[in-house]
Amino acid sequence: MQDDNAPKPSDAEVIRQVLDGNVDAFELLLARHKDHILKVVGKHVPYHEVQETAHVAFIKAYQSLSSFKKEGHFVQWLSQIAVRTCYDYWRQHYRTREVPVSAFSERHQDWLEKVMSEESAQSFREEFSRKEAKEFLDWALDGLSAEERMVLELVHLEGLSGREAARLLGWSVANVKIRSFRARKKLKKVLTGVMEGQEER
Amino acid sequence: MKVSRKAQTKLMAALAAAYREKAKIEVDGQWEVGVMRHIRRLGPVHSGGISFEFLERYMWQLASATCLLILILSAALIRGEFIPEYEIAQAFIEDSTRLGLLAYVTP
Repeated sequence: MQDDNAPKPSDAEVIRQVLDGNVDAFELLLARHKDHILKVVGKHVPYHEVQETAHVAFIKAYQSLSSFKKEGHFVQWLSQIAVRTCYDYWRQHYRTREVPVSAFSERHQDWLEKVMSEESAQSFREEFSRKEAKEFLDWALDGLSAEERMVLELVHLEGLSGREAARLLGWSVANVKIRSFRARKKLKKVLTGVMEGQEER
Repeated sequence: MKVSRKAQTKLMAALAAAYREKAKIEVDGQWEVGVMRHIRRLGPVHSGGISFEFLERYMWQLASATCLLILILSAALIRGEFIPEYEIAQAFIEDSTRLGLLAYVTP
């Protein structure tokens, strides 16, 4: 019988076991970090693709385990792999998608109208939690490239610094800054176009 | 019609909030079983080998270095007016050492 009070092995110890050939030990890392990775992946890819993308991220992590530096934090390293897997997902998605941009529907227009006219903070908060808000966000992000989408989500929507985003994506800070600027400009153009149309109605 | 800065800020705030509100994904035990089944199928990984992440990370850096090297070599060859066919033809025409085709075929 397993002793519940026994000290749990650290991530580094488990990784050592996996690298020594104990494949089953990876199950412990999976159980420990799956919630965090699902949360990271869930922010970047569509709901129905989260499980598959997180699966791919863990497989990549397993295959690259020998490159993990012992002095680093495993969860940070795993997050990098998860974010880069999401980026790969979008690159693949944009290459293979048949319908380029989803339609801006009447429901999105109604939601936008409510947001623009809303004055009270309470009802404003209620508006953005609605399904239409998420759909509107997806529609707006759909007009960006995979690179622009990832950098905009990390820097402008999650509020990470350029350095943090660069570390997660494996880009230089200068590259993140340039792409972030371009992405924001492009999104602003899309949103301004929609808002102008709304005001003219 | 010009859209006010306030309206733009408001919409960006709404979109950022919608992004943060994305639903948390719950997975059942089957998902973990599926991942572990895949990993067992791959077999053990060993330390010290060239990993997928390593290749992914450095391949593109090497690619850019290779392209740069090709450009530098091409520029050097163009500046040095190195044209092999022209050089060979010139050697035969001038034939300063009485070098003919026969020199290559006769022992």
